[in-house]
Formats: sequence, C-alpha cells, structure tokens
Amino acid sequence: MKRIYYLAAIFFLNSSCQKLLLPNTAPNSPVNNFEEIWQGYSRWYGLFEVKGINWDSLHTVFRSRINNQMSETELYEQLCELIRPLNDPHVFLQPTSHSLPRFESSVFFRENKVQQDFSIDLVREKYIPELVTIDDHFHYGVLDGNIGYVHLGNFGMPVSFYKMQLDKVIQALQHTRAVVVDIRDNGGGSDEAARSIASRFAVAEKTYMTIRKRNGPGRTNFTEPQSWKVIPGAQGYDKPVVLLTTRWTTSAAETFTLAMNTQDHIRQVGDTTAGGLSDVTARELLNGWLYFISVGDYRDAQGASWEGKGIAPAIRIVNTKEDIRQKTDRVLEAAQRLADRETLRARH
Amino acid sequence: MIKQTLLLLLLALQCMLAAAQHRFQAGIGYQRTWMIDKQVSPLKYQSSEKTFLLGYEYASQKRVVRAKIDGSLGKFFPTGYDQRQLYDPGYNADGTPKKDSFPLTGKLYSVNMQVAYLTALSDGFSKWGSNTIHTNDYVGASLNNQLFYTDNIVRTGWLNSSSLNADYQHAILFNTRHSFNIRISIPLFARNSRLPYHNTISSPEGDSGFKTFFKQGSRFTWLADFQNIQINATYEYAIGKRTGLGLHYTGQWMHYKHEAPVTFFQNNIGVIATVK
Repeated sequence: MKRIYYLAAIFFLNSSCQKLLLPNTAPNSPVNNFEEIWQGYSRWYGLFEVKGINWDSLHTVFRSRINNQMSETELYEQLCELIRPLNDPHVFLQPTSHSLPRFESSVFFRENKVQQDFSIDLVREKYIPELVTIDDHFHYGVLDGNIGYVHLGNFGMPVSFYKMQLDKVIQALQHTRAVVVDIRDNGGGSDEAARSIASRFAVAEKTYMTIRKRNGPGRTNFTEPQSWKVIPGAQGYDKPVVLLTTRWTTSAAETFTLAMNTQDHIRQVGDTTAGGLSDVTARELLNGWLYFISVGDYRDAQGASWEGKGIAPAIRIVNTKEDIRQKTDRVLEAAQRLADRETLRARH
Repeated sequence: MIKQTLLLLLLALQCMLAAAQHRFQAGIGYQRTWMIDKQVSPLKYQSSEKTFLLGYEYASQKRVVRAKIDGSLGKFFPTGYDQRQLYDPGYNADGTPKKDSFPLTGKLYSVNMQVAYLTALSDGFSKWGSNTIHTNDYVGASLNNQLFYTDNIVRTGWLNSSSLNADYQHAILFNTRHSFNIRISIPLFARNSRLPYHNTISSPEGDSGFKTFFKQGSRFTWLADFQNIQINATYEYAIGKRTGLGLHYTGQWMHYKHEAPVTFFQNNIGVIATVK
C-alpha cells in the first residue's frame, strides 16, 4: 500500500516527472528539422507517383547541404528548395516569424501574389447593380438578358448554410433563362459543401471523383478509393449553366468543377484551375514552423489526375489586369453570350 | 458509444438516488497537461486548464457506486512556443506581403465521464501513530468516456476513448471528520477514435465531420496498444453532518499507439464540496 502513496506523492509533488513519463523530443537543430520535414512528406504526401517525384533522391541532394552551424535563414532557403519540385498549391512552408515569408511550392502562387483577373466590385458596379450579398464570398443577382448570376468565393461554411441559402437563391433565380456560376476567386473549403452545391445544379446522378488518401508511412500506403457522386436534389436548377474558373480556382472549388463538368448542360468557361485538389494537413517542425501536405490522390471519374495541371475549361478566355482596370469583365460578358446561345439551343 | 455511456450514467444515477446513502460532489480545479502527438507534430505540447467536476457516490461497507463527469478548458501550445505567431500569408494590392499576424495558441477541451461499481475486498483497522484508523479496500470496474479536442492548427491530440476499466479503491476513515480515498483505474479494453492516418476528414456519403471522425478513425484496442493509468486521491473534511470540503488530486498518464503514437500526462488539483 505504501507504494501507492509514494506514486501519488510523485505525481502530485513533482510535475517535472512529465519529463520522465513522456518520450523525448529531438533537439531543435537544422539537421533534425530537415529530417522532420523530409520524413513528413515521405510519410504523408499523396502525390509522389502522380508527379513523378523521386523523394529519396531529394534527400540525397539536400542532406549534404544541411549542417547544424547554418543560420535559420539558410535552413529556410534549403527547405524551400526541397519542396519547390512538388509545385503544389497545398504544399507550402510557413515560418512563424515575420522576417521569413510563407514559401509557396506552386509556381503560379509564388509568381502571382494578388488576383487581378476578377473583381466582384466590378461585377456589382457594371453588370449587376442589384447584386445581393449573402456574405463576403457569396452573392447572387440577375444579369442583362435575364441570366442569373451566383458568385461563390469559397466553400468554407457548413453544408447546412449553403443548403439554406441556395434554397433562397434558386427560388430567386427560378425564372431566369440560364445561370452563370462564378468561382473565379474560390480558394476552396470543404468537398462536402462543394458536392452539395453542385448537386443543386445537377440533372443526372454521376460519379465525378475517386479519392484515396495516405494511410501509412510507406509511399504506396493508401486508403481504398472512395467514389464521390453528384446527385440531383429536389430543388435544383436545370437550365443551362456557365461555370467560370481561373487559375485562382483551387482545392474544393476544383472538385466542384469536376462535379459540374459531369453535367451536359454545364459549360466551364475562363481559365484552367489551379491544380491542387487534395485535402491538406498541417504539420510542425521542431523550430515551430508549419508545413502543409497534400495527403490525397484525387482523380476524376475517368481516373485522370489534374494535380499540378488544373482542369481546363471548354472555352478559354482570360481577363487581363488591364481589362479589370478598364472596368471590363470579358469573361463574364462571354459567359452571358454563351448562356444566351445555350438557352436558344436548349429551346430547340 | 457516447450515447450508451450517457445512458448508463443516467441509469446509474437513477439507481443510486433510490439508495439510502449517497452524496453529491462538485468541484473546481486547475490542471496541466503535457502531450506528444506524433501524428501531427514532433513538439511537446502543454496546457494550463481550469477544470470542473460533478459527481455522485454511494459508499457502504460492501460496495461503492460512483458516477462523475469532469471537464477542462485551457490554453494549449508547444512548449517553448507560446508566443508563436501566424503571419498573414496574403499580399497587399501592391504585391508586398501582409504583416498582420495572430497567435498560434490553441485551446484544449476535455470531458471525462465515468460510472463505476466496486465491491468490498477487505476492511479493517490499523494504527496511524497513536490513532486507530478504519480502512476499506474495493475492487471493481468502470465505464469511462474521455474526449480530447483541440482547436489548434495541427489538430493535436484529437481523441475519444470509451473504455472498460479495472478499478481499485482504498478508503481511510481517520475519524468522523477526516477521510481519505485513493483510486486507480486502468482500462482493459477500449474503443478509441482518432483522426485517420492522413489527419483529415471527408465523407463521400455527406456525413457530418463529427460522425465521419468516429466512423473513419475508430478501432477497438486493449492493454497492449493502449495504456492509461488514472490515479485519484481525495481528502475530505466533514464540516457538518451533511456537508464536507475537500481537496482532490488526479494524475493520468496515457499512451496510445494508433495512428501514430500519442502520449500525455496530466496533473489536476482542485477543491470539492460534498453534500451527503
């Protein structure tokens, strides 16, 4: 019985015994941080095969450049170079000091800091003065020619929110001839929300995506593939739809694009999407920095991967920075014309 | 499993309310947790939490029946990085990086529910200095559900554990005013839920995140994969015939190896008020 009292006394009196009871953490050193990030991607990244990357060879190359005498900035530079070949919108290094910026492995997001080919203010100002704002990322209205317009700037809210709001939006647009769904600045959110919204514009049940995610440290360890389907709902929109995308259309907005593209009455217009569809997880380094990993391998219904490539539109048309500055949204205007034509075709 | 545990908790409470001897407890306290969750981070996390406790106990020479719920809420951060900031990854209209930031500190939430039944193993008298004290030993089992949730960016320590435990209690009555209890609880079998290996949640069936977490991340486990020792010590001073005040201490050490190992250690100390 005495042992129990002693044990209790140890627990109670000496909270530093946590050091004895928890496993050791590796010291915070450049070499250990390098090994941590390399192992992190090795164990969790889902796209080595899709992207044709030999991760082991990168260890060989970079390990020789890392030593424990190097500065934080030198380590940062080497870690950025390590992840650069992944060229993935979901892969980035986020130091936790303002002297070092977030490093994007994606070439596009590294070179393009601010979106300049879309402006919701311009849509409101020039094309739909009566644009209704549901929240900062969700608007709707009616364009000239009785063409509906729905802007979804992200899919970050709960599915129930979109269900409730889309009931109102589709009710309001039920007498329009066609609708433009604008996800040109949509950086993603949840795939469940994306599917739920796509279902409101679907007329046929279709499988649009199969996904598998890492489920073990071996690079071929993946979960069983899961099929995602778009299923038409009770209160949907079945007239012609034009879907607008850009290079800024990312992540769940791309799985939304896959879902929408399975439907014959929906046409994707604009630019190719970002090419980063997978779910993402965050991990930490021993120095407190964060790094982000695509954990999945997402394919379309035909088994093709668009990671690193993006989903190309049926009709490619892109606004320049100058177009927006000159108060012209050429993409939206083209979408209006296309919606007109599609409406006429649908009638005949 | 949570629903079943709640139901058992309510049934146990109902049975105990009908019993002749019973007492209610309420308490508040302070807790520290240290955790290493290798599924998301190589760093050791620590917390500073406020806790509450509500309990009911029936105790006699023959048995102890107990139901309790306790919970905690507090700041949760990696040791040595409590001032860490996440700088806005966005850019200003001119392309320069934004400089605004927010702290990366998260919060740890935990809730623990337990119903226990213990039967008397032995009782007797022993000497403590010049005083004679009365002691009782009990053994039995408990059902326990413990939930950990953190809102930090890497999702450290998400865990729900529903377990069947072996329990031991040693009760000491010094005299009519002073009593002391020490309890140990060790799970034999459990159904543990963690985030899946990939640390994300998505459901092709359209299930909620909560449901998907339990559906995709649960597995049955036992002592070989899941070790969890809870020690609880309570001293109580009877200030009246029906009321008491006391101090309690709870220590818990847990190690679970799936999907990647998570280990934590907790110290909790608090005050409790008892109505008999």
